[in-house]
Amino acid sequence: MKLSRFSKRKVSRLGVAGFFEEIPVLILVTIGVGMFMVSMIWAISTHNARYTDIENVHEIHDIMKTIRTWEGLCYQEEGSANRVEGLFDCHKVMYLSATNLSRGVPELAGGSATNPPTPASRTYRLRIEDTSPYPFRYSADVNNIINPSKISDPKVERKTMVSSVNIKVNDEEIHVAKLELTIFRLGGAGV
Amino acid sequence: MMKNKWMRKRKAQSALFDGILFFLLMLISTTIVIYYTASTQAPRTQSESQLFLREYCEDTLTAVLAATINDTSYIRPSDGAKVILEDQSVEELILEDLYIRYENDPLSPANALEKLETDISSLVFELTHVNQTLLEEQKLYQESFHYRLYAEYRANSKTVSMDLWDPTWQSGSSTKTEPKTVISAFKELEAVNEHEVNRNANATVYLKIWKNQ
Repeated sequence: MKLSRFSKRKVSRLGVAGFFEEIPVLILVTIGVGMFMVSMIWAISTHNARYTDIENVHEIHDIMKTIRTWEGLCYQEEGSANRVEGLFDCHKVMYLSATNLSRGVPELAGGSATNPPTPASRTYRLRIEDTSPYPFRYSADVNNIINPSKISDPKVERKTMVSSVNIKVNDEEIHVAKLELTIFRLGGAGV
Repeated sequence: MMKNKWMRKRKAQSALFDGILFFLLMLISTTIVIYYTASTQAPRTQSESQLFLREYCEDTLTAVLAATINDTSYIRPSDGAKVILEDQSVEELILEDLYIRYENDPLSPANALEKLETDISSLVFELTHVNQTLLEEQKLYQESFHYRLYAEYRANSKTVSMDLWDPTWQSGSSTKTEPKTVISAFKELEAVNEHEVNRNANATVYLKIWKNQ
């Protein structure tokens, strides 16, 4: 009995020796699988980031369109409901406020027509920069930024879209202006 | 005993060979994944991006043509008198410019329309160029654009044109050329009949924009 146990142990010693011979193979396989896993994680995250980016771009484009036709900014003849896209009223530009803008264009602050935005849904900044040669210019800079120091951090994700608009003062005086919309951390909490 | 040892060596070699083969397969797979991910175009395709830019270009042309300039002037070629124009729209000013060129071809003095054209060009420049502070932000239209505003007036098989280039584009060279890729928008100017010289006359204005390449 003892002899047979010894002989079995001898067989198992060979097995242990075999395992140590395969260590280089194990290392190779581990490195190979690890490399592949890392590349797959990178590929998936890149793909997701691209889709998020395109969604954000479409969203900001749609919001920009809404602002360009929003009655709170567009010029309207007295007694007429007609508005021309991209033709703003100088008085409406002067008295533009973040409260009115968030209420009039709820999508801008992360809400919708049926679901008004909460104060910290999304942070935005809208700038109307009058670039006309007239001495008096009608510019506006409205935002719902709570913490300006955080916005200046370049790590904060943001998207900006620029468009060109007109600001009507009267029938003889029409200014040209840059409309610039920046949305910070789309889909996230406000900053 | 010798045979057993030889077999053990062979076994180890075989395992190493399998390991190397597996590693190579993983290496090839990784390379394919990285190459495919890097080379696949972003979901925002080229055409979609071009569409947004074209929209921007059209909006800019519309805004420029509708805008008015408070004070500009030109020298009347017939008598050299200075003609002052106040609160005229850019569309009207372009037509005025083209009409003067049509009536006085070749234009004399050559700089008669210089002030008028500089004022129009400045308006486009201010609109299409972004402040340095704004460039720091991650923008969809990331940089300032260069532009070319070109207008043509055709009547009685005669064509005259006005050609305004971004002064910062190829500023060193005397003859400017457009890059390969430009985004353009155009508009037929309807007010051309106001001149009542030739009802067959028509004018077209083009705005071309491009980024630094």
